[in-house]
Amino acid sequence: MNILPILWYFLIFLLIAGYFVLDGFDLGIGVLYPFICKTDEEKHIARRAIGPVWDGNEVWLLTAGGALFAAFPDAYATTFSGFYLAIMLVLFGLIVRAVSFEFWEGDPKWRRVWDACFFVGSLLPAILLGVAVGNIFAGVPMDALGNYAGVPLLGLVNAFTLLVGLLGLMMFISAGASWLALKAPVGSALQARAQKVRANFQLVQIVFFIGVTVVVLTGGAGTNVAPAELGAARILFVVLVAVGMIGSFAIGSRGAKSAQAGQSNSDLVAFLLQSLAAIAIVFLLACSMFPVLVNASADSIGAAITAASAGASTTSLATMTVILCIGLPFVLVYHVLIYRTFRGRIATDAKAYE
Amino acid sequence: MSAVEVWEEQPTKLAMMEGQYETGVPELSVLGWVDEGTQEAITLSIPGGTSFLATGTWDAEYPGLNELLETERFADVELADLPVNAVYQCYHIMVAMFGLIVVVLLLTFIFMRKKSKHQIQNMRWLQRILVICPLFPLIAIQVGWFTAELGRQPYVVYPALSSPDGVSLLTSDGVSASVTVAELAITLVLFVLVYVFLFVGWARVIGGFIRRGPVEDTTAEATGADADDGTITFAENNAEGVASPLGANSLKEGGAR
Repeated sequence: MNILPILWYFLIFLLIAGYFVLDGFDLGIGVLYPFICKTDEEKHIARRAIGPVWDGNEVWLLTAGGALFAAFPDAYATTFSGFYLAIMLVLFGLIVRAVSFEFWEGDPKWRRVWDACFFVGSLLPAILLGVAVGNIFAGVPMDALGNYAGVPLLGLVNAFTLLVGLLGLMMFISAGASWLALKAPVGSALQARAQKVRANFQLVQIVFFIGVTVVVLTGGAGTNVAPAELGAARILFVVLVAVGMIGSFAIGSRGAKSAQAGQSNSDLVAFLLQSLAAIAIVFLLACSMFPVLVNASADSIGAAITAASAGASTTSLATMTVILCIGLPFVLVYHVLIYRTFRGRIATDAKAYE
Repeated sequence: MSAVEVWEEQPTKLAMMEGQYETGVPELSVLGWVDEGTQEAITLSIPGGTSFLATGTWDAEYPGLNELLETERFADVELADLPVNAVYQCYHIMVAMFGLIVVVLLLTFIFMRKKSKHQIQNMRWLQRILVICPLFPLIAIQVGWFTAELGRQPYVVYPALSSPDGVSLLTSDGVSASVTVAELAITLVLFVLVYVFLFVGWARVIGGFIRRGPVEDTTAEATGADADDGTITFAENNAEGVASPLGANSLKEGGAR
């Protein structure tokens, strides 16, 4: 295979990893929001914790979708048409979620409505993205041309894809709790609650990770024959996922009390390790599927869609590589700038940037 | 610019925009009605206007729809595939909106400068127009898109002159094989519901702003911690403050919700 499709195969997963790690924590906060915030004040803090960054984070989802369209049009066509209803649900979720941010302050009587939109709009993407990953990994039925041939929406849900969806959700929630523990005012009840939720969900995510791994290794998730050359990489990423998840849990829990007293930055370390796990698990997925982009299920007529079979022309991929080399540094710079500008914990008395 | 591009690249779109069935010098009509059955366009128009916009001369000939469809490039297209009147109307509503915007701008400038009792502060009717005028560009954008997309029909990828030979895709051939009509209907309904819901939410928030009226002496707050977000809000309030008597007016509408 040409080098460019291979490069773009992993770049697509890099964009997905970027989305998972960045929008991961703000979707997670959205899911936790109605349960973890007891007062309007705390809700305010939770929304402020992600206020300056959530829309920048969502850019990664658009970029991943756009790059898939340009680099692997066949894979894009199969998934975006095949998962049409699911993707539209994600879209509607993201729409009402975005608006709920803007309107919460402006309409006190409808705050419960916008709270609900924020929750539902976060939950839908948080669970459906994992379900989608479960499907492309375990395989979907396709016709000879590669069109999705299964039942719309409900055909995408089975025990395995639901398991992957829940693993994703648990990781979103863990990331959200980690971010909230990092941003909540020092010594606040919200910080202590977030730390507790973080620890609990990190244990649950480890259980789900082990569950998914066992199902995959015992062949319960279709046939995925990734090349043996990537075996070492897979082991590396499993180790990184484990280090991230367990390390984040251990350091976060041990340092919880001193972080509440403002004497340790264990909340920051816990968040970074949780993020490491999120990035590593996406690359573990990539190395377990390569070169398949959309796997074919056992009853599929069409073959699996791979980086080689779905790739755009070399000209397109070369052009995209140039664009990426110009564009990515800008994106990284503005991410660094915005996270630097809004670094540190939220002071209780400051007014909001939403 | 756009006229030049459409003239060169998408001849059926240009012909539909002016309802031109027969070859001739395209006029620039202001308003009218195209009867697709009889191929008659009843219009109020400037002769040679569109020719001027696209070429700079008043007498450039342009092929009409009937002649275009006989060419090999549009061999797949039937006259019945072309929504001529819809494209014509969308395009002309867009132009009319542009005209309205210009008129409102002129009126506003005139009555802001005048040093008599005919100033904008005392002119309820002009204030009312200013309240609804943000709709004009929005309508123009929407019907402009309709012009572009309907005008492209029956292609989703138009056989443009500058694209490689044979590159085109009929809309009917571009339809997804795995998305059913029912799925499309469901999402279309959902789109409507979600946007109606968002509109209600938006009306509530904006209604609240209007009801509270202009914010008085906010300079102390504006320099506070939240200068970034704050200044924007105050700027909006000041802009609305010009039309402050309207606050009371809009209240009634707000109450009807």
